[in-house]
Amino acid sequence: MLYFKVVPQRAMSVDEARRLNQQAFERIWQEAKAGSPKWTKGQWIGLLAGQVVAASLKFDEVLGAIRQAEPDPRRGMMFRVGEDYDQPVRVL
Amino acid sequence: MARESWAYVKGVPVVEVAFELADGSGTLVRRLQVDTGFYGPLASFVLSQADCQAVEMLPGPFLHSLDAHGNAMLQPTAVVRATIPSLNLRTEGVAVCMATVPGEHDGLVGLRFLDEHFARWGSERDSSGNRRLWLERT
Repeated sequence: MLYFKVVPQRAMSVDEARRLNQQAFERIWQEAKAGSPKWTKGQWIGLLAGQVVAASLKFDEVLGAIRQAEPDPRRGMMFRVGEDYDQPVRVL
Repeated sequence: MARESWAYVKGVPVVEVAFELADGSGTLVRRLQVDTGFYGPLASFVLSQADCQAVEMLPGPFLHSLDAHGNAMLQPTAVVRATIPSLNLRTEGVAVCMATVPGEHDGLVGLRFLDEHFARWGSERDSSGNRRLWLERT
């Protein structure tokens, strides 16, 4: 597992944290799509305030790292690298 | 090999999935309509926003989605942990969270979920003539 720095974010609103997480998700997704060696297919990524807090193939490791760093789950985000996010989800 | 089946409800195939509650206090069992018209690269489930709040381990990214009329939207998602105990299945997945869940059940489960976790699935009539959906794991 790769651990990155934990960013203090208490002064930040939940909405702002989500906005930063979404921006980070889109950046990482684009990097992964371009073949960046920083990201491994199947890896779970955990974000807080737009910063990568944990990255691992093991879901529990990333979830645990996020929860340890930030008890309010609304401020975090998780996603898996390598999914084809270009395709919209279609709900008929 | 494990096999489980569920009777059709209101004429459609359903699966009962237990979602682990975010606070670790138990599970939320939901009857999900199997809908092969629900597909996408990431999401395995469609749940109501209220259910998402209860079972969300962490938020997932907002995803682009299309409704039945082709309207593009951004939908919130939740990272969830789903289980089907009788099939010894415990897995993580992403649920699309919607204010109004399509269909007449608690939500949808898509083809992706079946593809990822089951060797075979199908439909059959039981001895009473009722149709059942079955899933099989190896």
